[in-house]
Amino acid sequence: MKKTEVSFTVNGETYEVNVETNALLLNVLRDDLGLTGTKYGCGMGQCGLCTVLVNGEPVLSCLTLAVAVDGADIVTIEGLSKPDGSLDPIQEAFLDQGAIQCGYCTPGMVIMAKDLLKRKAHPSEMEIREHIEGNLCRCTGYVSIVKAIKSCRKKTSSKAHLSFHRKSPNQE
Amino acid sequence: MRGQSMEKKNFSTVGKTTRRKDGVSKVTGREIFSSDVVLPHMLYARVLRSPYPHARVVSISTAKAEAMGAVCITPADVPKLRYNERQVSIPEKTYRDRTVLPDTARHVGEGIAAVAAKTEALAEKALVQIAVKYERLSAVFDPFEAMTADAPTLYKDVLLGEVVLPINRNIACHREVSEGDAEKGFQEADLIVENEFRTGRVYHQQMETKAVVCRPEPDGGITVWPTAQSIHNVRQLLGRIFKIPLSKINVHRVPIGGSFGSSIQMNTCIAICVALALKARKPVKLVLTREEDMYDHCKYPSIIRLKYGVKRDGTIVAGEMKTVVDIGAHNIQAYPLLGCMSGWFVSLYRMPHLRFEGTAVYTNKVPACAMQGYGNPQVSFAVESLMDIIAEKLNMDPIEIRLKNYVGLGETFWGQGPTVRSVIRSCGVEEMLLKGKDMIGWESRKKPEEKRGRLRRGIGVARSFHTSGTGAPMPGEVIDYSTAMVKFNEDGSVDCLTALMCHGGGTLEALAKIVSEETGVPLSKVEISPADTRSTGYDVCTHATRGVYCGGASAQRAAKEAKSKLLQFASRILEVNPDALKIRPDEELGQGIVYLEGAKGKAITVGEVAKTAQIKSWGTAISVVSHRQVNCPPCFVTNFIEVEVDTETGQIRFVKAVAAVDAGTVINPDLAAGQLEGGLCRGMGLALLEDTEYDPKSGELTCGRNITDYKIFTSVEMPMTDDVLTFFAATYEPSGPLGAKGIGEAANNCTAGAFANAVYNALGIRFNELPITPEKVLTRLKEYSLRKRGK
Amino acid sequence: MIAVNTRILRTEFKYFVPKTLREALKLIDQNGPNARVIAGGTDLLVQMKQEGISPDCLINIMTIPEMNFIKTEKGSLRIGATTKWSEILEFCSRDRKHAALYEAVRSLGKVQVRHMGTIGGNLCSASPAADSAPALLVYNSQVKLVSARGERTLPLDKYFKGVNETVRAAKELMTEIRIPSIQNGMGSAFKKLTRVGTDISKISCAVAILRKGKVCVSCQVAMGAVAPVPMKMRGAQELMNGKKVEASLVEEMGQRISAEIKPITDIRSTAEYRRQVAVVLFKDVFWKAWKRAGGEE
Repeated sequence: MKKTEVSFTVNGETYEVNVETNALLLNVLRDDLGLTGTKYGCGMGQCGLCTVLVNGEPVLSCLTLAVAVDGADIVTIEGLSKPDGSLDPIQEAFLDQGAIQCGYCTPGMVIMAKDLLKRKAHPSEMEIREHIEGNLCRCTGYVSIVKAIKSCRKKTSSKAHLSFHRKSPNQE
Repeated sequence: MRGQSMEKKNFSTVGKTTRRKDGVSKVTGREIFSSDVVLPHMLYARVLRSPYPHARVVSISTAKAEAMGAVCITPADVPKLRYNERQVSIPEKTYRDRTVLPDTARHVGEGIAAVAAKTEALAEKALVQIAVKYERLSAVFDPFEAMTADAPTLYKDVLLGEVVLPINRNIACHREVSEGDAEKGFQEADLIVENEFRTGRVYHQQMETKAVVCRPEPDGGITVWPTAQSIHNVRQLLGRIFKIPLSKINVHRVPIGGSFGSSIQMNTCIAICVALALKARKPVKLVLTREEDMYDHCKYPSIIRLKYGVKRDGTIVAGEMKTVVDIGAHNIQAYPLLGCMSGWFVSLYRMPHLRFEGTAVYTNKVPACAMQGYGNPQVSFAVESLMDIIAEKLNMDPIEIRLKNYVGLGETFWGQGPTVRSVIRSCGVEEMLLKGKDMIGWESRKKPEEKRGRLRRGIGVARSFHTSGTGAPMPGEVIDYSTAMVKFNEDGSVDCLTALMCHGGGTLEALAKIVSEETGVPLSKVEISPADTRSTGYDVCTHATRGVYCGGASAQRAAKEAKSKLLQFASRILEVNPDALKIRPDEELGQGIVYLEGAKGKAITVGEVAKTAQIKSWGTAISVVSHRQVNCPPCFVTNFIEVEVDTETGQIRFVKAVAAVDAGTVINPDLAAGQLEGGLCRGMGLALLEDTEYDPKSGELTCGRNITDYKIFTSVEMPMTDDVLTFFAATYEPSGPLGAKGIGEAANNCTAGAFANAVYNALGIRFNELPITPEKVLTRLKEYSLRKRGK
Repeated sequence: MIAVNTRILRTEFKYFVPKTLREALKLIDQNGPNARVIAGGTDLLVQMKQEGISPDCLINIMTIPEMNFIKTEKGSLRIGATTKWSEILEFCSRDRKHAALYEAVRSLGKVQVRHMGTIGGNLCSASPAADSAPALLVYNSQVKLVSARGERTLPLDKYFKGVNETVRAAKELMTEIRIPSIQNGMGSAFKKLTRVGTDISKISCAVAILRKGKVCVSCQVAMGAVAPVPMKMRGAQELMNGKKVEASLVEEMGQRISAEIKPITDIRSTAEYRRQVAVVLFKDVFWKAWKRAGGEE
């Protein structure tokens, strides 16, 4: 199959890669760029392990064509720590709250946590849970992960502008 | 309390929350799992899987695939040795029924051929070009139907050890255990209660699908990076199947993306990958897709008929459990499973007279293997449900009947089956029940009939335990020992090397802490070395909740011996009797300090000692130890669960939980709490959500379309973080490393039972069949109100 | 199913990135029946991986600026077909008039999918369980279909034909969704039942009510995942239109809905369950919409 040249930045570095039109972003990141922090879990958009930020938005790289992110700015888990190697506060929080067990869901969770805190400085616990509900974790029961994200909230509470939140079943 | 010897110790790092050593690599995406391993000139593999539940492979043509440049293997290309992928039982108790690629597929998804090619896309194209001719055979999916005379049979015979064992009526194995005289016991009882309980065929859904990379070496050997709980068992089995000396097989320990028992065995994809790599003479990588993984393994489902005879005061006098386990197409470890199920049953509550009967049956389904608890969540669900039924009949408090009958301190425990018996030396059962009772608000718990309205809350309790490993005073049917090496480096830091595995719960972290505590070297200077089979002694496996208790004990012993050598060196420098020397950690210096108590000036850092010993050619303070625990202490666990049932939709909301474990000395408090929390979530899955069903026509999983249709709970179904309470019983296990026992599997063993009891408390309806889905709740509520109206 | 590989896309295809609607329509026209339009890809790529759908040409319409917009025009709302759910959600949370749509979008997939999937894509896939459909139906929304030969606008409830089937011709492109203006005294709500947090509906329901004091001037009800297409509950609606609202009447509507729907048993739930909970689901949603219509919430 004829290959297409695609260029994008990943974690601040520019890449030009020749990909087939049916190549998925997940596999290009992992196989072509060697960024294996982004994981395959189901390939069907069900588990959230493959989440990366594309132009600042969290997307599932297992359902994203590489050709469709031509020109995009992509951030993967490898790009969250600072250039000097020091960790992002959310990564520190995951370490401090024991929010890591096997570590396979961790990259996707951390990306989602980062995304939420960027959008909202002081999310409620319910908002945190809803933000990561598409990211499955089989080890932790989510408790320590939610606690880690809670611990990263800015101290000053911002007023919620959403009046009707979806709640968990029965919780009306 | 029934009293216990609590040895108070001042630990420098054990029991304190510290950052896990593998945390940074995991949180930055730099941890390399098997699926991330990349080698030069590596090929990608795909497996051709049977679309039929039972079919003989008549012929396979790989010509077209090979013409595309793919390397192919079929049953004709692989060794014919019949093997069992699990290597934990002694050989004469190991049932062997499978080959690398079988010529008869016995479940949908069984691999019958495989390809490797330069890219995954090419492998996929080649795979489609393989032509297979099948002769379809009739299949059976129901275990009771399978045991009838005219049912289709999966096997004519299997091997038990080296002996050919004919298989009749698809019965893979059968076990009976009895003590006392059950008939007599039931005659003595004032009340006999009996019920049947069923649990689902849960899929492990570890987040990393099984994976393996294999590199053939120029010397005829192989190097393997597998998803595995035991690298040594993988090596031994590969050596036997492919007739390669073990000295030429190196299996690396690779971080695992969750296991829950799914990789206790040498995964079948490993042997397939090795066969491909040997034929291709190039490295091959094989990573299962999610749908393949779903067709690879599942939890043992159970049908349990349970009967207790009790006195009017609640004392149990007799018990009987009969279970039928539908093991699917392969017997991976059904024989020890049945032994354990008898043990779980016998060791929960005291019974002078008991009888157990277990039958494992082959069906044309995905093979079942160990999953967190190994039959214990199933047994505990039945027993704890029946305890509540008995309590209600006797008008007793559910906690009271448990306190009256539990097997505790000083009593014999044989959780791992009849051959693994030991005496209980630490027990926090009472503490957990009484403290948990206060924390959940047990006193305000109302009876079901007092509840009104659409949303009804209920509180349930259940208790259980798990073993800590499978050690025992006498060797049994299960192999259990660990090997560890500890050495002092020339700068005063310490290396610890072991084949033990961490599944995420912090096993190796615990080992580092134990070694730090024992050597007196600060935790920051103790590291767990990367491990492979060439550099480590045998370790059975991280399974059976044995990591800390058994593996930790071997590391502790190695540390002790290495330390004694170091003190010999120190004694030469300090001119002090080595037995008088001690080591304490100095966090600021980042060193252990060797010192003589009360003598100023008689002190030196561990680094100086080790360096001096090296320069003067005295040697290295190093020790390797193989260690078997002679005990098998239960780690007890208790759950209090509060639910809210919507009587209009049947939905059950998880409101609050109190989860407690008696793990002896708790080494990593945050990680231990994390295990309890994870156990709650998976236990809730078993209780309310998870099961796999089969289409009786096609033999396919009805949820086989990936995890789109196999759901596990998400972050929103767990209670608010403030409502998930965990605590540890204050106990000390005399036989454990620094007083520790296990925790792992125990964490989810009683959760399903507590849920069933909570739902009963909310509705007054007992669910004996898991999962308790909204559909079932609504159906039962309808029957219930019709029955009430009928009265 | 076991022959599937969800890690990769097996199908090989040509790929186009039109910059204008005109260009897109031309490409659709030229590339024959086996060309597919791709927007967010959350449905199409799943189908290509799992259901053997193998287009020989994909036309990505996400790069067409004129198809991505949210505009209010004389009170009515116009949403470009490639507008992402996250954008609609943000608009709704500011605008606060379309509660049912807001709730439907929030329940729709995970956060990531809302940053990928589009409103047009959801309606073109036409799943019986498409969460946006019941909400859009109760607002009497319209869809605009455009081809190289012309364009047409039709009500959404004339658009769905069957499971994953619509009246849209292969060479037509959905460009826009229009929601008529929300009158004063109108309230709406949406709710769905699922197995877990983010999941395809077992059953979903949307209600929009025009309320005057204690009278329901008009009531629109739509249900999802209970028939081959998301459907309006006309029979039940008629029971309520112009009536004074009483609990017994709402119950009667619920019973009528339960009788009107045609649920099936599938992997997510049973026909019996769906029929049974339809009543209470409708009642819950009705009262929520009713309160909102009266400014009580």
